[in-house]
Amino acid sequence: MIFLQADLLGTGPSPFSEIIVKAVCLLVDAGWNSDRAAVKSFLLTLAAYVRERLEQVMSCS
Amino acid sequence: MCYAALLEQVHKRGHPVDGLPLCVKVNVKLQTFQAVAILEINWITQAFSSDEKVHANQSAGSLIKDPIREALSLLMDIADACITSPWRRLKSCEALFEAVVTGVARVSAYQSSQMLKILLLRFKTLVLAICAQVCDCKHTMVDFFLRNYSVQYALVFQKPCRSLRFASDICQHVFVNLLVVVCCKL
Repeated sequence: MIFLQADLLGTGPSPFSEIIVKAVCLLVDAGWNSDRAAVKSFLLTLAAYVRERLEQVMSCS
Repeated sequence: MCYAALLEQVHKRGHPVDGLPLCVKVNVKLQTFQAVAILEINWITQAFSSDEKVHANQSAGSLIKDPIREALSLLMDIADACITSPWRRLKSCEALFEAVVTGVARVSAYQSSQMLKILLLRFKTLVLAICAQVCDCKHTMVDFFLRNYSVQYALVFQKPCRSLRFASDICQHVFVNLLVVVCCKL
């Protein structure tokens, strides 16, 4: 467990997050013209998740 | 063949460490998967461009649709596996993930509305999984930090907040931010 934490502490944020952000940008760009409603609901769901998460963090502190 | 040659080369050098051949094996496998994934995405792109050429022939279009759907869902399975894999810290694993995810996102421009919805759903689960990983990492860091240094550092952080008489929620916000920043720098 300590080893795992040390490993995580040494590195910054996950490199996967940068990759997925770029890919989601591509996906939204591609889908915007063909099915705008689906892309909008996708973005709104993510926004709802972020809001929920933020409230959790604020209530914990 | 390349894989056998690499293993032989490693064997000849006489590395006594058990971990190295396994690491090499996994690297070669991941790079092979990446090459296959790139080929697969190229195939999907070509299939779509040829599909548009024979647009009048509806049966040809529907014939090619199912394999493409399967291929895309398999590619997204690879992306899911990359995130949860214990080898996810390897550079080749990241490269595989990047190739798959970027390729699928690029190909999605040609997809039907139904397929786009499925892809958006898969991407959503991916994004949430990655967010959970990053948040878990931060939470374990905060827990670790608090367990060990709670008394001293809580005082260090709370005193300036109190003396500056911030509104309590802002103070908490600043405190949490500071904690996370300090944890990241540790």
